[in-house]
Amino acid sequence: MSTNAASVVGVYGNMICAKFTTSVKMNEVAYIEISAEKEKTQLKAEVIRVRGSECDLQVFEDSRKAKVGDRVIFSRELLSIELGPGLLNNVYDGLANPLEELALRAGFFLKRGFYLKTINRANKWKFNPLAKVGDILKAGDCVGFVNEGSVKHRIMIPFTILCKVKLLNISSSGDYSADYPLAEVEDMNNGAKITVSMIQKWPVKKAIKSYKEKLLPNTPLTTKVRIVDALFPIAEGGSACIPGPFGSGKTVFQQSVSKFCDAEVVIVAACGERAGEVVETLKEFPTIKDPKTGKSLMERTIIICNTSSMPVAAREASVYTAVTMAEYYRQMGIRVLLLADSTSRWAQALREMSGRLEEIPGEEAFPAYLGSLVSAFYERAGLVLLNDTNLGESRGSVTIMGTVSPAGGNFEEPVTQSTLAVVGCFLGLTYSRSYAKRFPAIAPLDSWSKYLDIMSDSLNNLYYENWVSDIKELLTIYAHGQKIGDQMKVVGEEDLTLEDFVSFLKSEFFDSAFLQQNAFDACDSNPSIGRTAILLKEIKKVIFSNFKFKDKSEARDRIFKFTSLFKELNIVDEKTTEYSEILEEIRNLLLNKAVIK
Amino acid sequence: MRKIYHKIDQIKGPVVQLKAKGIQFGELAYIQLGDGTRTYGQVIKIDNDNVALQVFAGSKGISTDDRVQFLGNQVRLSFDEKLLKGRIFNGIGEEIDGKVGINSSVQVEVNGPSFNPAKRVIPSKMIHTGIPMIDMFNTLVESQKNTYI
Repeated sequence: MSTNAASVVGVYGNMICAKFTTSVKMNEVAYIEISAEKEKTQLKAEVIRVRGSECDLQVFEDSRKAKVGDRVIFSRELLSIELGPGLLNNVYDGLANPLEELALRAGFFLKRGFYLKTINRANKWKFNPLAKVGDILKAGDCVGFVNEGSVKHRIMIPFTILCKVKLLNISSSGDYSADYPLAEVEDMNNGAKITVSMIQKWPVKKAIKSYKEKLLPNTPLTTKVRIVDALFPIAEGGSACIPGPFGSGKTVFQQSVSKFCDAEVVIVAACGERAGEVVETLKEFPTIKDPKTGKSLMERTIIICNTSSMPVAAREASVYTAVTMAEYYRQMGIRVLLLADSTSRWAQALREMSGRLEEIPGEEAFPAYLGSLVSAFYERAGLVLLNDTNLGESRGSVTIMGTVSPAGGNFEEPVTQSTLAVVGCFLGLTYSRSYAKRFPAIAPLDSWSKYLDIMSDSLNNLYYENWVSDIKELLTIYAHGQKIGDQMKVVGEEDLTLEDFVSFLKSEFFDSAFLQQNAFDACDSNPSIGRTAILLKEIKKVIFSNFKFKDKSEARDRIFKFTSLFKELNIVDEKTTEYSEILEEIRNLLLNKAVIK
Repeated sequence: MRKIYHKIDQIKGPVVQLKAKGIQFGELAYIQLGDGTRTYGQVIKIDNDNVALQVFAGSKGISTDDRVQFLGNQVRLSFDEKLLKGRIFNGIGEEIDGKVGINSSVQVEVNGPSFNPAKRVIPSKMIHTGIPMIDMFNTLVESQKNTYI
């Protein structure tokens, strides 16, 4: 506790102005002691502006009952969270308070000024040492392991240490609680002794940089959503933007991605969404079975939850809390997926604070620096090369999929625009496609991915040679067919040439057979890479076949026959004879072009 | 005895500003108008000893020398399950149906804490309205929020 005698001089909603005597740090955490309450509630706040001997604090709680003269206690620490084993399988609020435990200790309503430790001290973890006494280590180096669910959790030298350290002593393997001093290191620069436990703290608004170098994201993060993996792939360590208009199947899409994508840890930041919707994620995730381990999906998931009714400043912090946890797990050399839902609500929190600070508003009253904050956030995604002294090189990644909720589907608004400027992939979920029952409702002609070109080599390796060029060609054919479809809506089917009509039918066939996918079907929701490659090859054969039809009705019948066969194929287990029978039938039908069954 | 303030410095829309000390943010205050009526307001800004009040009924007719008294508490309501049913109140919780006033020892702050999202339940109970257009096609569910346009 510092001797900085500070007190409140002004209260403006969730911004409080305080006068201080010595010094303050920008973004330092302070506590405001509410003298009007008997229990002297202390509200957490963060310094967001300093002017002379006064500073403005954004309060992470409802600021009612604050008075002029109330004591302000500065912590001398930036807004930080605890990192350590036990983060997985938990639900936190925006400031990393465990919500389940809060409910146990403070009742079902959130109590103002009641904070709990992020990491539970009561749990014991089985520690296996790796580093040996005398080792010269650096920040982020592994000293030992604990098993956290399916994750081999590295206990690391704190990221805050700047120079090399020498390991003085380390505990032998055994069960320890998270705050037990496992090891002691000596700072090689000044000889200071530092204790290392399973817990370390990191300021959320800074990126963790204890890695050797940042790599170009050139390997795909397979999501098992065909339209994404094939047409608009996301790179491991890349970033994607998803607009989620009401009723476009965003929740199912996110769940499907969390379930089947090849990330080892999934972090969901439910930021500013309505509680009624967040509860779906909260209750669904534990019941979903992880297809890889067979256990609950929650065991490799962290949910950061700051609903729309919770204080707005904590919402601003919540996305940073989430990305810091993601970076922490990345440091263990694993793939992390962060679903930020929704960054629009986060931007609204920024707008609210900016308004309170009476800053000059930018477009739609968002702060002028919105763009740079959005890009700084997405910048924290990345594929990094770690260089551990004992473990050698390994790769870890944070992939960010951010949702935007543009009001009225207007993509021209500032949050969507500044997001699109920085992400590498745009998955345009639309209501119209969802209304047409074409799931996942990602509009193939509006979406794009820069990674298709960047990753072309690894994609060709993964599927087959020429995969990327095939995908591009099929997308062009699809777009052409859809254009004809639009014309047809105006002129009618009769006035279309047979050739154009067939192009339209083939385009629709590609949509039904490949782009659409049933997220609730055991086979279709989780196709293997090989299966997708075979599917595309077969589809290509159909689309590039030069059919001779005598009229439109025959063309329709024939292409529809293919559509239904492929749809059947997609929901059949690839190991069964039924699968090969359908595949055989498709191939026969192609060879024998004249016959309609 | 609570201090009574006689000087209002500024009146701007529904917001009046005066000089006062020791005021809580969100505190309730009443203004005694010259014509004998009483109107309520809530503290929405404190800047040193300048306190801004949002007057619920609007600032029309408020004079710069009207009496202002702060009540030392947040906006609260008397709560009693038996007494509340069938009664009519105005926006700040005063009874306007001419019946006996509610005096309960249970006082609930209007601006309460938010519910812990981890303890919420997925809305699943249907509300039967008897209107087929709603029950069949736009079913209402308990705890769901609805918008009528």
